[in-house]
Amino acid sequence: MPKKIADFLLRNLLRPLLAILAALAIGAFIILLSQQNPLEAYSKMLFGAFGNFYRLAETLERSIPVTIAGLGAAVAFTSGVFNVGIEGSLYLGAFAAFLVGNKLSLPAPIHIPMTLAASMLVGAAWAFPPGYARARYKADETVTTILLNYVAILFTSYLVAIPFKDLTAGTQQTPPIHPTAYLPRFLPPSRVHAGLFLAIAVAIFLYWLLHRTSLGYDIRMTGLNPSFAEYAGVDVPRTMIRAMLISGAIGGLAGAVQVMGILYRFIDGFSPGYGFDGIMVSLLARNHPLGILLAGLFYGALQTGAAYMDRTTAVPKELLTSLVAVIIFFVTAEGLFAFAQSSEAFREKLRRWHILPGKSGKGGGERWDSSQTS
Amino acid sequence: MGFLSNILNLGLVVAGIRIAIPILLAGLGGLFTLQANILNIGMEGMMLFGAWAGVFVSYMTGSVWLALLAAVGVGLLAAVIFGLFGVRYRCNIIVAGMGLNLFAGAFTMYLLRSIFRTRGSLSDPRIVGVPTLTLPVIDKIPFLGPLLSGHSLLVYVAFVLVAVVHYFLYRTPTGLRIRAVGEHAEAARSVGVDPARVQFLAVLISGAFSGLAGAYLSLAQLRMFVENMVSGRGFIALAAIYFGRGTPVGTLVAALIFGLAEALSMRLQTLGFPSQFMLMIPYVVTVAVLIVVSRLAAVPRRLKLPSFTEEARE
Repeated sequence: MPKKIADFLLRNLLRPLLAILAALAIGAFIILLSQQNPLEAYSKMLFGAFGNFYRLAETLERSIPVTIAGLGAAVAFTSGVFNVGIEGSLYLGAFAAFLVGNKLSLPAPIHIPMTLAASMLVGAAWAFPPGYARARYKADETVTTILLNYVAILFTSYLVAIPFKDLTAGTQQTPPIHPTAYLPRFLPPSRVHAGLFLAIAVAIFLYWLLHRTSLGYDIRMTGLNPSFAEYAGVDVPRTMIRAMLISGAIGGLAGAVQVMGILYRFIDGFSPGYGFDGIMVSLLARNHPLGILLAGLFYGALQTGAAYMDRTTAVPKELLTSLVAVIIFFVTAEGLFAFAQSSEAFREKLRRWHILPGKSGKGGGERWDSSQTS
Repeated sequence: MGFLSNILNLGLVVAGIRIAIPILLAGLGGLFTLQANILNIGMEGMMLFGAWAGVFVSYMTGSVWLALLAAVGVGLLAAVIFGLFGVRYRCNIIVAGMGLNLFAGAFTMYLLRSIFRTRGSLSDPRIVGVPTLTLPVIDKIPFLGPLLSGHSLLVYVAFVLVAVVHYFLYRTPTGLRIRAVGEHAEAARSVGVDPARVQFLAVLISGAFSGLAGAYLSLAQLRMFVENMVSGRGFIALAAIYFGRGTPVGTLVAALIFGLAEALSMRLQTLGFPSQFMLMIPYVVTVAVLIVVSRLAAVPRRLKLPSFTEEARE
C-alpha cells in the first residue's frame, strides 16, 4: 500500500509541481528579457491571489466556473472523447438559466434547482449531436465541438441583441433574473456564492460516479482502451454518448452558476473562456475529479494574481496565460519527467544521481522510460 | 431577380476566393500531417504566430519579403513546439495542439502589450502589405480580368502550391514515406522508415504553410494584427481537408466552398439579415459536412479513428 501511495504522490503531485516550477522559471526568463523584475512580478501575483480577504475571495469567485467547467471536461476526457465544446454548453446553459430565472416566479427552494436543471438540460442537449456523431460515425469530436462553440456563442449573442435585449441597458444584456433564483453569497462583501459548494458537490459526485458505479467503470474502460472495453461487453458508443451528455450538463451548470451567482442576467460574451480554462484545469489534474478542485483553485489564483500583477507592474497578465500552456505541455508529456511516474523510476533516477546506493540500469525504472512500449 | 443579382455576382466570387486563401494555405500544410496520421489541432496557433511575425517584421524592417520569411520561420518554430511535445514527448496530440493554440493566443497578446504598449490590435502605416499582381493581358478581358487579375501575390502562390503539394505527396519518395507512415506505421518501419521522424517532418511542413497562411491574414487581407485574428480558420482548414478527402485538389474545392459561404454571409448581412446567423454559416456548414462525410464512411481508413501516434510508437 505505501508503494501505491508513493506512486500516486509522485505522479500527481511531483509532476505538476515540477511543471509549474519549470514554467515559472521560463516566465522569469521572459520577464527579465523585457527588462522587468521577475521577483517583484511574482510576489505581486502571489499577493494578488492570496494577499488578503478580498484577494482570496476574488480567487475563490474566479475558481468556481472554471472548476465546474473542468469537471465537465473531465467526464468526456475520461471516456476518451475530447469534448472541447464546454464553452458552447456553458453559454447556452447560462442562457437557459436566465430564461428560467427570469420567466418563472417561484419560491427560492424550487426556483434555484429548476434553474440549475434547465441549464444542465440545455448543456447536455448541446453536447449530444457531436457526441452522437463521434460515437456512431466516428466524426472527429474535437473539430465539431470547437466549431459548434462559435455557433453557440453567436446564437446567444443574437438572442441578447434582438429578442431578449434589456432596452434600458447600454450594453448587450438581458433583463435581470428574479432574486429567488439567486445563488446566496456567503462571504459578504465579496461575491463568493453557493456555487462553490456546488462545485465541490459535483466533484464528489463525479468521483463516486467514475469509481463506484458501473457506468463510471464503463466510461473509464472506454477511455483506456475502447477495443478492449468492446470485447469486455461494454457498449462503447452508448457509453461515449452518455459521457458527453454528462459533460455537457456540467458545462451548462458552469454557465448557470455565473448567471445566478454573479451576473444575475445574461450578458453577451460574458465568458472570457471559462470553458477552455476548464479544459486546461482538467488536463492539469489528469482528469481526476478531486484533483480538479485543487487545479481549479490554482487556476483561479493564477488569473486573479495575474490581473493584479498586470495592474501593479509593467508585466502584462497574458504572460501567465502563456505559462499555463507551458505547464500543460510539461504535465501531459509522458516522455518528460519520466522519473516522476512511479517509485521504481524515481529510485532509479536517484541511483543514477548517486543519491541512493546501488547500481543503476537494472531497476524497474527502465519500464517507465521514454522508450516505454505501448 | 434584381435582389438575387445583387447578391450573386462576380464580386461575391472574388471575395470568396480571397477568404478561401488562408484556409487553402493552412489546409495544404495540414494535408501532410493528416496523411502522416496526426490530428493537427495546432494549425490555429501556428497561423496566429505567422500573422504576428509577418506584421512585426514588416513593421520593423519595411520589407514584406523578410516579413513573409519570418512568418514561415515562426510557423516552423511553432511546429517544432507542437512536434516536440506531440510526437517526441508524447503528449496527447490534441492536448499539444490545444496547448499551442492557448500559447499562441496569449503570447502574441503579451508581445503586443510588452513591445508596443497597446492592446487589441496593431495597425501602422509602416506595415507593408503583400503587393497585388496585375496580370498583363488577362486584366483587359471583361469577365476574366477582375476574376483572375489584381489579387494579392499570395493568392497565386496558393494556387501554384496546390500543384506542388500534389506532386510532392504523390510523386516523390518523401511524399510516399509520409503517406506510408499514415497508412501503416509498422509496415513503414519494417522497410526502414522512422515513423516519428516522418511525422515530425509533416508537422514542420504544416507549420511553414500555416505561417504563410497567417501572414496572408495579417499582410494581404488586413495589413494589421488583431488579437486572435485567426478565429477558427485553422479548424476550418482542418475541416476542409476532411471535406476534400485528404487530397490537395479536394482541399482546394472545399476551401473555395467555405470561402464562398462566408462571402455570401457577409453579403446577406449588409442586406439586413441578423449578422449572427450569417456569421454562423461557415461553422454550421463545416460541422454538417464533417458529420455527413463521416456518416458516409467513405473517408479513407486512416481518417476515421484518430489513433494518432499510437501506431507509430515502438
